[in-house]
Amino acid sequence: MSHIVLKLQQRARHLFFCLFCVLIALLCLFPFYWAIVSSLKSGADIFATDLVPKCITFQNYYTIFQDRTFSCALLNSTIVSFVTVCIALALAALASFALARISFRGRKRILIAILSVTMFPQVAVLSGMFELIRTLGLYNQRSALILSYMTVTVPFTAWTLTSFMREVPKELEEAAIIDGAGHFTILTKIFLPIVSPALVTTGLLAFVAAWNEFLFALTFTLTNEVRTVPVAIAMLSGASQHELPWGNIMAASVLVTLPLVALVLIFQRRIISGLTAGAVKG
Amino acid sequence: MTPCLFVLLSVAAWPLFRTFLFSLTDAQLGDIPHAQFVGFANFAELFADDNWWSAVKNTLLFATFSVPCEAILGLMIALVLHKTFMGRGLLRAAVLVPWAIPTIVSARMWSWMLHDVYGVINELLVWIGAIAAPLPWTAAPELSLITIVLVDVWKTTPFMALLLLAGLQALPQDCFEAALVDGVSRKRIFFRITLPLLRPTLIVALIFRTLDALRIFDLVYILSSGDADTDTMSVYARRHFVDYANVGHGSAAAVCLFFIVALVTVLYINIGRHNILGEV
Amino acid sequence: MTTITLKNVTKSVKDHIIIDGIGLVITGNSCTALVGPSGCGKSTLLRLICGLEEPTTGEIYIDGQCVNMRPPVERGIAMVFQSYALYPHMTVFDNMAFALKIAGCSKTDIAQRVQQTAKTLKVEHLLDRKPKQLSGGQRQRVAIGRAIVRHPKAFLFDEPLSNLDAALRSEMRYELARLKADLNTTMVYVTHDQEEAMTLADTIVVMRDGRVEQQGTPLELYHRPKNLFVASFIGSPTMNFLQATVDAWQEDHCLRIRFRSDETLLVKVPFDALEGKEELFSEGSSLTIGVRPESLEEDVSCTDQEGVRLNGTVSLVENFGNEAYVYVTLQKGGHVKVRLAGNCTYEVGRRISLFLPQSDCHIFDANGEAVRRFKEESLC
Repeated sequence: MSHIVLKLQQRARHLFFCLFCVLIALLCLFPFYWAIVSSLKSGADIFATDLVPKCITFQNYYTIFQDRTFSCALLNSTIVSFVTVCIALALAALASFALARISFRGRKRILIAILSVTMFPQVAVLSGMFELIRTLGLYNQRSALILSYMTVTVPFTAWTLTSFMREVPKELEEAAIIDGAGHFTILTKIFLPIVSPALVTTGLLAFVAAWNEFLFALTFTLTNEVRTVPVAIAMLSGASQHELPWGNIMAASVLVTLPLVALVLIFQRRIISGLTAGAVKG
Repeated sequence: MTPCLFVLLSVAAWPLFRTFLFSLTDAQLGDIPHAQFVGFANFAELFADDNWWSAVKNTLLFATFSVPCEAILGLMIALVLHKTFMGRGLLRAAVLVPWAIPTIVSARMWSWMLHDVYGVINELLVWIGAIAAPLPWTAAPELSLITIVLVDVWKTTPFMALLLLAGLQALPQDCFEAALVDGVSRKRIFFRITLPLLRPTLIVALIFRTLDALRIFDLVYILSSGDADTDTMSVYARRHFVDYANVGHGSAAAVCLFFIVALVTVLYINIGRHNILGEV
Repeated sequence: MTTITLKNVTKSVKDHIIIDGIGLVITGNSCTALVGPSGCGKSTLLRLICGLEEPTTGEIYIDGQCVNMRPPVERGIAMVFQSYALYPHMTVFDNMAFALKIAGCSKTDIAQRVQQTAKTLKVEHLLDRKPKQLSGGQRQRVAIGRAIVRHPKAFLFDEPLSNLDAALRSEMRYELARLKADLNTTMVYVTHDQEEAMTLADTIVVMRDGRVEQQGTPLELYHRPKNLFVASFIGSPTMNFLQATVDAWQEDHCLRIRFRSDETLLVKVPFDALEGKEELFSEGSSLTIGVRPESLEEDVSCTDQEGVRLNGTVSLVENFGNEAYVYVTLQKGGHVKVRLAGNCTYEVGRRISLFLPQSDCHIFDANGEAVRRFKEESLC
């Protein structure tokens, strides 16, 4: 008897576990699914809560590309994120090599400073940054965004790369020293190739951060020509506050998210290792 | 090294320093160079402003609700993902999706799903009978805090889960095996072995999330659609800085937020250190 | 013919002294092994020689030139790391060519030298592979190849075999011995395994706590350890130590030693060996007698030599077939291990009588210093 009860208990537990998994997946994916479904409906259909659209139309997608705002924003986001990532990686690679490998006085303090910059509220630099951008004459230009994004991406990439570089065995560096390599050769010929997976990971994370940034993008841009996608989506509105063009917004949302979701799914493992390298070993 | 430090100094330290200075002046957005030194007048004004205190309250409420929720849910998901079962990779991928979606986009998605008239969630809740009539999730100030917490939990639990999962996977496996061999119950294993071992990771994750929660901006900006009652500190600071063009006042708010964040960091680090010492 | 000389070298990190005033001459065209327990500073000494670390005081000379301020490359020294430290992203060829490329050799020159080195190490067929695709022994060869290809003045090995399993280790030991004969250059070899040192080295330097305890040929160290530490470190299984006291001095340099079992033994000691420490050999002062397991014999009839008989019971037997190590608990306390023939059976608990020949006794005073004996002069 008790044997059967035990077996039933086990079954029930297993079933419960499976249900829980499905629930998690559903909760995570449903909003995105709903956005896709909504974006494919048109006209009055969108206000009906059918889980599957009755007829699929790409009307909403067509609409958002009708005026140049959205395509412009996509281009801006791409350029800004890409340039930001490149500069941030270049700076962070140099810095993290020094921080991870060359011992000098105050190294720990610099590390702590870098970590605290990744933590502090961006609002705190907002007015100072605004003044800086004004003085440099960059206001309402893409370069203003690239500059301000450095605040977010450089410390973060430097921190993550430092933790990756620390994992490279010391003997490799010593072997290179004995082979006659200088600091720069060691960095470019030994360290960068070895941590190149980490570079990709960190770059991806920085890209996501730059792509999603909102506060600076909202504050330092004024016209549609330089806005990034998040701002463009935030600015999409209809005649009044309560008549938002939901179909268009959802279409735009899906378009912005798709590349990111694709990236995340392709580089799943890398991203996880990057997230945790930055945090757990801190 | 030097170029990086230079950039960091110029994009982080210098603006921060200027913000501190601005908070002591009456600078206006259009006319920053002619700002006059006004001492702590901005702060006095700030502390007399009810909206500021409501922003502080909102932010703290938001942090105290969202962070524990995320921690508990994140831990649950991490425990699930720590097991090996078919489709684990798929589930992990699914969990990553909310993290990848830009905050703005997720805010928009949810505000659509939570739409007071056409929202699918109201529909669902009415259908199962949980509520009698559709609720104005984003429009009503008392509900919008709940909404913001909900969306933030949805968006950032994955991050928490992945951090904790990495922590779980780094734990020494033999401890658990030893406990199983000794016949310790699952519950006890969790509370006596898993949790204490996971504590350092948990603390780091909590610090990250709390600081993130305290500076929340974009979600609130989109979801609460311009109502001053639901402002958080970041939104408040930016509102005064940009919309009211009062650089001094906004900067003062930003400086206050900065100090609150710094205080929380110090607190957390001390608690963490105390805990670690307590174990030895 | 590269000689490495260390003059009064010390190295300390913060207040911790790692190398404590070492003076050492490593002669050219020979293999010197640095041995000692972990933490004795042997690896640090190697790193000081190759320039990865700077000495706190003292000078290091290579071929008579002080190299203290020289970076590693200019010292013309190659090093093989314990973990091999192969560059994981480069092929075997690139790994070996890296140093040559930096030195600015021409491409054909590099290719030729790498090919030639690969040939001597039998890794030609692996040149296109990445380190990950190699077995432990192959990695080891490549690491050695990377050192050889530069034609350095001296090779430094930092525990090169410790990452290999036992079978592979003896194979690589053979390879290294062969290589040593082929290359005929100066080699410095760090190991904690005295067996490796005994088989590979021409000279062994035993270190402890940042000091040199003894330097000499393997057989010198084996037969004439200067002190208790060296005696216990060299030789496997380790030397037995028995407590004893000075019983009396007799004429003709004869020292009578009294064992715990009240047996006495007469040994001849040159008086000049005791100069300055006579008080350690006054009557009644304690001594330690060292005996190698193979010196003890289980033979009651063996009476033509002078010696002492030790009685006890067998407490444990490790029989390897060709030989057996028998652990004996002595009457009146103390244990010894004895190497005996493997073709007999030794029951645990059996009484056993061992004979210790006088000539095989190592005598250590209360400070652990060895006493020189007459017969040693003729040895080696």
